[in-house]
Amino acid sequence: MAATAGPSTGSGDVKAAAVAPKVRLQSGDKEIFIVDLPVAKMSKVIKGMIEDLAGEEDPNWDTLEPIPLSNVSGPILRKVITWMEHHYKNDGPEPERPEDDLSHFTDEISDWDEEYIKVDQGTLFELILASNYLNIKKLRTVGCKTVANVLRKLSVEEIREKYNIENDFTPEEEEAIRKENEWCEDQDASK
Amino acid sequence: MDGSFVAYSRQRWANGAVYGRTDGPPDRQTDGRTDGRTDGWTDGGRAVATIEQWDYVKRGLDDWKAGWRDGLNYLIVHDNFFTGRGNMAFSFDVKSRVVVQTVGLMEALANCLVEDLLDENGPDEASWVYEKAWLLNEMDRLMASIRSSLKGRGYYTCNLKIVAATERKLEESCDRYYRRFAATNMLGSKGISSAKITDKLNFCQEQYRIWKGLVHHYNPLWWATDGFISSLNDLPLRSLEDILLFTGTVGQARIRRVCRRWGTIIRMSYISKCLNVQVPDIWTTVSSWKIRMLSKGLSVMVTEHTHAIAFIRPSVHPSVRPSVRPPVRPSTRPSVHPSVRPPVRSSTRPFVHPSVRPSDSVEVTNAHDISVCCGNRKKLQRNLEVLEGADASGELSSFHSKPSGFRLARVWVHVDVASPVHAGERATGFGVALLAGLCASYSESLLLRGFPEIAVIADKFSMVSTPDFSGPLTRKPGINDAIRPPLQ
Repeated sequence: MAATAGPSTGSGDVKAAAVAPKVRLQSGDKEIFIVDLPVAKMSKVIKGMIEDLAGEEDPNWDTLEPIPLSNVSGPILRKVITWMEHHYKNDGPEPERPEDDLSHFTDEISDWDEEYIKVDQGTLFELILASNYLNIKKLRTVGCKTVANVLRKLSVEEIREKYNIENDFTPEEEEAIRKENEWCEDQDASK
Repeated sequence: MDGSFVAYSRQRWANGAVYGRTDGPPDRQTDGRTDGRTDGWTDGGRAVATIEQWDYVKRGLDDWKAGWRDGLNYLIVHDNFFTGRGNMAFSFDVKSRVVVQTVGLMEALANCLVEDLLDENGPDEASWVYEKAWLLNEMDRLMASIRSSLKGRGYYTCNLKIVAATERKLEESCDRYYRRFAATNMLGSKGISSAKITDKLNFCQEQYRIWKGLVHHYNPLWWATDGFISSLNDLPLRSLEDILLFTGTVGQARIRRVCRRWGTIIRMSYISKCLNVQVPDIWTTVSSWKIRMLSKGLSVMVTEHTHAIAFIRPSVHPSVRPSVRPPVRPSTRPSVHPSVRPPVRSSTRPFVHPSVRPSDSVEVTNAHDISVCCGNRKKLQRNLEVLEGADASGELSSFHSKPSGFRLARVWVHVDVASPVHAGERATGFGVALLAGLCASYSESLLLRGFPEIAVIADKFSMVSTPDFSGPLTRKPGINDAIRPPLQ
């Protein structure tokens, strides 16, 4: 968890790593987590909060109250922090990418992530929600890809049943789409 | 590909007559201000602008009404939807087919973060957005009524559930704003004044209450992980969108059958992501690769995603290249020389806003391309003269063809109306909502005339609609081909 163990980063992060500051994050159920500052900054929401708190001067991080993340429960926040620590140590801070960057469509899920995300469906959704709230794009992508992989294997009716989705198409509309989809339905059936 | 399109179009449009209602709620005359939130119609709709504004718009639109009915084939509404997401434009083919894509109406609002507005623009700008929020909300109601009146006929897409998602996003935004500054206050940051923060927060909450129309209620805090996820549709739109797109081409084509919302998300995502074009860049950049990309964008989709996007029916096929300049009808003959091109603006600020003074006039330059813009007549004339010179030098010779990505062989209208056009880095989408409402009663499209409340308002101001047009919607094969003769 030590910040100095992380890879070299930009000048701001190098400075942060030199003094090894730690921030305290407080989950919705009041659980406190002590996290290295650069690791915590992998979440853009936390990063924004920290920058607001810091202002122009470096505050005394040890005496500051924990940063409240009331929207995230303790177990989920712990799991998110585990993910952030691993990826900070191995990949470094997530590089800034343009808004229209589509590389996440082609990036493969790493073996570690694949193992990490093997959780029950509820936890998986919680992780997606938490990563969405904390604005950790890479983690959100991992979660979404995992769900997408499940969707690929299910039929339309199975998807509706598994994910509790109401079919709001009229029979005529559904039939029209089915006809348009004949090419992929055939492909799907041949699997 | 064409076969799929034609088949789909026939299937969806044959006898898909939708009759515009004229028995909507009575017109509501406001006191001259745009605050129609509290004293508008109850439930059925609300006045969308003041009398003066409507009158102003009416006078302007009357000028090109003949062009609309007799010679106009396409209305292309450009707006800065999804500024950062590459959405391009809304297109209405007013003659025989309409593509109304409304998924962005509320989404655009949801992307306007309160803190961004306050931090960057101050309270005045924020109030604009809530005005827009109100209008968009009204538009969404209209869309809902259209959808119900269609009963499966006609081609209309509207993601109604986006409303709930937007509310949640707004709540999330307020929540984040609150927590951000509450935490700052609690920790006693020296950098920010507590009083200032409190003022901002109070303003934010007050605006949110107004927007919600629930003065007595304020509980916007959305707890991201508090609720039980009973359905995949409970996930935030952004995450759901990613999930659906990650299923791949085959998967997307298949799972769009699951529900309407999924189908809409996939369709809109294709439009915004596959094209990868940002509207503001189009307006501010000439001959950039993005413009070229846009001009080819739909073709790229056709060639690379043929099957997957078979259900995406662009209003005009991008490969259309006019070979014959269409005749200009006498009724649509412009008062300005046809070679006049509309002004090119370096910024994305709009020309028209409903709040413009009634004394302003609408200028019509009706030519092969028609541009409707607003402002001082003399000033506009000067601009046109300047631009005429610029056009002669070739700088702007193909300006009109570029934003839309294709050249039209017919008369068309380019309208640039939207204000506020952006909030921070986010687009507002005001213009699309406004135009969709304003143009409803002018269209011979029965679908567009299905904007019932808006049409009623328009008719109240002597905007003669087309009650005698009640034939079924038909579509001739090859309507998007350049060889198709102008409709009589």
